[in-house]
Amino acid sequence: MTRKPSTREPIDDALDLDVLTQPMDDVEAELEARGIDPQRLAAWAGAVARQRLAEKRLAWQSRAHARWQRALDLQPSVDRTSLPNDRDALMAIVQRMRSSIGAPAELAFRKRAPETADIEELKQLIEELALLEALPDDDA
Amino acid sequence: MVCASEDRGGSPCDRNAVLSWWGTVLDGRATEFLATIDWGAVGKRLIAYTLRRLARFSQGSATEEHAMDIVHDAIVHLLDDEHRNWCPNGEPTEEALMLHLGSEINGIVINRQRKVIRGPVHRAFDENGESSDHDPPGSTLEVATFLQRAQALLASNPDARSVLSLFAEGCIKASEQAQELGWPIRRVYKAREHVRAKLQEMQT
Repeated sequence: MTRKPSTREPIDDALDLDVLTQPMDDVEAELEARGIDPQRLAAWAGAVARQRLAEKRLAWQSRAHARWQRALDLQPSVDRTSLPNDRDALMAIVQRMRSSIGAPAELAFRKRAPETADIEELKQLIEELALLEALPDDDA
Repeated sequence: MVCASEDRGGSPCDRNAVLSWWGTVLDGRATEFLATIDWGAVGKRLIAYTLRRLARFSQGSATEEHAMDIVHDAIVHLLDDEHRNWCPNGEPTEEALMLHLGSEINGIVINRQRKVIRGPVHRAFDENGESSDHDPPGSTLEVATFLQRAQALLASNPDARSVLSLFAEGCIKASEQAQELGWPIRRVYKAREHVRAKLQEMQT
């Protein structure tokens, strides 16, 4: 529950937004009531998006290929033998890297809980985070 | 360099997995997600939403062609701009997509309306946040008065009155209202539709 509205505007806004989530039958009925053929609209919107998406995917594939090539040339920046054997110290490194790398690091943590990892697993995670850290930016 | 080492024993650095994570962070994941969307259904919703916003902000120009023009721009902006951050949590969802497109459309409608009704001097004032006359008519009516009038207009529809009461309490979302009232969501949407129709009458 949000705070009580002081004008009608948030109420109007919320009611207008309903059409983005309410059952499709109702949306189509609203369009038909305005004399608009929903199926014709659907075909039009599908065509607009399909064309743009095809161009977007091609462009992305080309960029991804170039990034992949750059990434393959990278040298890892962490020497496992130089890492401490103390679990707390490794955890501190993981946390520091996690916050400095940002979103890509979060993907590395998917389905993995550093809190329950052993020392070798933490070292591996640090290596992977180091690689993520070293990867070039999108525009590099 | 440990990762490059072939003979260190233990679990090797899974470079391919890392690269794979990295790749999914980039534009690709959102692009793949966008390819799974039923754009026909999205288009219908967006046109209906645009018509509602046009009717609210610029009475008289809520035509299908005008709405299609705006929706076209919103879709193209989204798909052409690879850096557009429409899924800020990194997890593309249809809800996030619809909210982003809805917000984009809202912005286009308001900006176009502003250009129509205002000259350059007034637009400069807008940029300084000193004007709000793109607000729809009646939107600044004192809320208690407005709700009172709306309740009276909805006297014959108890469902709509219940929903309106929740709005007054700050319970705005349909899902929250359904939970509060213990109703199926469809019943809430129906009631909200009645409320919307009445409020629109009050606006015009």
